[in-house]
Amino acid sequence: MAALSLKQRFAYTPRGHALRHSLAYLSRARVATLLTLLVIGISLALPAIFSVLVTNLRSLDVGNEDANSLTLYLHMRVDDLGGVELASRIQQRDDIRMTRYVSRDEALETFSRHFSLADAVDTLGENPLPGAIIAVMATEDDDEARIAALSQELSALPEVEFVKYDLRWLKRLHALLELVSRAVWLIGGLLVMTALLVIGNTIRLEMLRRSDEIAVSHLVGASRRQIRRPFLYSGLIYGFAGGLLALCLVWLSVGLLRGPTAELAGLYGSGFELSGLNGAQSGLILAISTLVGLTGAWFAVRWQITRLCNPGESS
Amino acid sequence: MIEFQRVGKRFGKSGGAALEDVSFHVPQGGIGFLTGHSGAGKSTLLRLAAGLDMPSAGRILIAGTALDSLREARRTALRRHMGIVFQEHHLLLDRNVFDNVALPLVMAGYSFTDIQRRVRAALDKVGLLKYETASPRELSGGEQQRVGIARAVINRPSLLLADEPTGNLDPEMSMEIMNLFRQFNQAGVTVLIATHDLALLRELGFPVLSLRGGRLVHNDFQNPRMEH
Ligand SMILES: Nc1ncnc2c1ncn2[C@@H]1O[C@H](COP(=O)(O)OP(=O)(O)O)[C@@H](O)[C@H]1O
Ligand SMILES: [Mg+2]
Repeated sequence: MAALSLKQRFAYTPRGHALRHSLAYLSRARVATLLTLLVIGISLALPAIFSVLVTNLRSLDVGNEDANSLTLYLHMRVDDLGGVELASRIQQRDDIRMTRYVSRDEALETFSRHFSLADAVDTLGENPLPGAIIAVMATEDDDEARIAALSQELSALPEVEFVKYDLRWLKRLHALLELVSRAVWLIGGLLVMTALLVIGNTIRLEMLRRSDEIAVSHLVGASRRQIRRPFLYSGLIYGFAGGLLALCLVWLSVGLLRGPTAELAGLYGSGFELSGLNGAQSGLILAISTLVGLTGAWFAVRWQITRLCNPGESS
Repeated sequence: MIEFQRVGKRFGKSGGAALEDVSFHVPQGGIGFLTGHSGAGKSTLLRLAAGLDMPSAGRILIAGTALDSLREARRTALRRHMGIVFQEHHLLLDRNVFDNVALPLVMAGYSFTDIQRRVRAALDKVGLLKYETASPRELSGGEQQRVGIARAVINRPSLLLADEPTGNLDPEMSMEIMNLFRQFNQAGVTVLIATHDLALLRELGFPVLSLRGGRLVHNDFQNPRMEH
């Protein structure tokens, strides 16, 4: 009983009154409200999903060392002792910072973690993988000519079958990611603008539909602030609920992408796992969407309130 | 209480005058009819008196305060001391009778206890207490009009302006509404009612202001015998 009367008391304060009638309007216009929320949710979810993907791809960074290294595949006849010796000899070069020898057994172990090689090994009766030396270069520039010359020189060694500069693509990926993340910001900005316009237009329509209420409130001496209030609340509700919807969409998308991503990463021998939004990022999305709702409503209200309050004066 | 000094009103730049050189004074505690054919300027005059619109010429004083000297916010606040019954400001259909009548009190920041007490008293006064939770849609035209009057007087205004309050009501119902106005007037409220119902005018015998083509052609308030 006490709770009921408290609720009732709040319902008849200027703020409670505004909130009550905004909620009532939004639930009366259920389909329109839902559609608007969907548009807002999607416009805010898209940039969030893109930026989650970019952040994840960034975390793929294998470190400069790995990206800056050459892989030397050795002939099958080279044994572990010869491999280790060769690795330490190469490490003494000025243009190589360090080396690491990957034995044939180690290669097989890594490989078979992702693929079933048991059959192949059974058939062949032996390990089909060669040993390898990973050599990290001393300089970190992208001078293709220098890297090509070094590769050529190293592949001329009698123990080496061929040299690969695999991880070059990662560097390129990072350069590309830089571009993509700027594009995400740009598209995100445009989509946020879209959400702003949608909310603004929705509130504009709501004001037209509730013009009787505006006129009567004006008549009985409601201040501009009081007349504005329910529409700002509507914008706030749209923004907040749209933000929640966007979070759900992001969460759903990340969930859907997580399985395939893990599979793909497994193929490349990576334990990479797609991570979603953390608490701070989720909070930021909610804050942005709420602000967008409020701003959209504010513009709509500013645009229209004089006309609806004083139809006679606008002519 | 309501004083017009050579008031003129034009809509737009090229439009003709809706009101021209209108001067009169309805004293405090007075009650009067504003009459004239359709298009004579009755609604325009009442809107000006309510501060909903500004005159193009002359000045309007309400309780001694010149409306043109007030900022919009103050003019709006002044309406909290006026009761206004206009057709275009009908009841809100999205809420019940109680909430319609409560609106002016909510906007003025009264507590729920006060709101409840005063709304019930006002509904009782117009004989509609039993409809407090009904939707305005469920009421007849006359009942809706009475709810509108309850809303207009809920703030205990010192001035009541009504624009054709009996517009689409039968004579009996019209008489009932007029009696309500008379009761408020007897309680000290200044009342100005626009109507083109001549039968009503004759029957009640209140002082009359007549408009024709935006000009005041008859003014009973000039005659000291008619003043209250
Ligand atoms: N908002 C407006 N814009 C333009 N003309 C108007 C407006 N309101 C009233 N008028 C004109 O002013 C004149 C008086 O109208 P009104 O005051 O409504 O008369 P009444 O209420 O006596 O029928 C009419 O000619 C009408 O067309
Ligand atoms: Mg009229």
